[in-house]
Amino acid sequence: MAAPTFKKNKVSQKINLKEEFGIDFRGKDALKEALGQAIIDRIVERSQSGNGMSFNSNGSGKPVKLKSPYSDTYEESLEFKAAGKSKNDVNMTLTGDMLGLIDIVNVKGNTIEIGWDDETENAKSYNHSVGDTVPKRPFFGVNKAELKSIKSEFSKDIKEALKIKKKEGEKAFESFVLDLIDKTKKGDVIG
Amino acid sequence: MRVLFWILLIKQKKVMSLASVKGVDKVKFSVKKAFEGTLSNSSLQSEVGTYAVGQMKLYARKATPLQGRNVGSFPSGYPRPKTQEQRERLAKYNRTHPAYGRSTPNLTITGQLIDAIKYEFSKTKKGLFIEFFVDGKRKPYMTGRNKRQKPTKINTDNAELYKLLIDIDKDFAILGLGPIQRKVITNKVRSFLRRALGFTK
Repeated sequence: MAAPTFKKNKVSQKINLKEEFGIDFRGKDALKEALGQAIIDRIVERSQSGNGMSFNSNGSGKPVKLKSPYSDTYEESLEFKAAGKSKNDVNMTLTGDMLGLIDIVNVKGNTIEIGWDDETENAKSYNHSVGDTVPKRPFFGVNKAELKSIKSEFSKDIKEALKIKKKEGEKAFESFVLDLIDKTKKGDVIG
Repeated sequence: MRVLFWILLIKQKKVMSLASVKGVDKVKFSVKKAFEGTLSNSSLQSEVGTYAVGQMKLYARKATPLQGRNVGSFPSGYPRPKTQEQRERLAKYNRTHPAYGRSTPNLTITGQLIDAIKYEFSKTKKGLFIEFFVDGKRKPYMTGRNKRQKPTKINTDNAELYKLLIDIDKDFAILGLGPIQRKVITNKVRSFLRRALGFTK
């Protein structure tokens, strides 16, 4: 599988679901959205527990502990104190915006792309991932083992979602929610 | 002194029209019920509410309070030299919050006022609403060794104290959600919608 791309203007990872899950996902929009979210949840949970993923040039990712503790300067900052952070608890969270804005940025055929559509958060994730101006803490991306565990964790749900004959109610709900997801991409749902 | 936001303000008509295409009452009912179930999902409400309140606390303590729909600032010149002296004196006899600083303009000495920000959800036919407010009792400050402030309404009630501050200057407001917070909440709602697409977790 492909390693994430780390560019100043784009940090993302493309995942070919057919290759990883052995199922043709074309036309299965709801399932792609749900699986994409499961992958995002995995990245967020892992990062918040202080664990990252380091990728080598051939694309394979190795779990790593994120560099700890935080620096003395950071510890002394008002932001750090205001957020109630602790020096040894590295969790990639100050405001929560960076992890909170990871999203499915593109869906095409069997491939989904996970990343940011927000310029600031993308730049922040680039800095952390490559160690530009801040200590390197590679938190972004999933490896094969994580996808395998997502596959086994959700195998029952995937099987259920692939049912050819769905009840009218299920189909209507699915298309309603997909429509809502689409709307949330066009504007805030809060105001 | 409350700030109200709506979340997913979807007209019921919209839910109905989608379902009525199918022309089956049962489908109409199940879609509406399932959608309302997503909105009523207590973990969605708790995640959004906790995040929003956490942001208001963080931004107020960073001295860039969230006010209404924007990131604002506390009144200029605050804390005045006299207030700074007072803050220092109180800090001597009270357990201060880590973000306290003699001249830091963040309404924080012990942290009780900002920690009193709360949220409440309500669901109406129009959608889901979240309201933010300051609530609860506070301990009057110690003003000397074994000497506590007189327990007046303002010294013991966070909402009263907040009201007083707003009356002094509306720029003491600490309730609101800026553009980035609304974006993150939108993303959170989206992630719950995705999870509602059949996945158990």
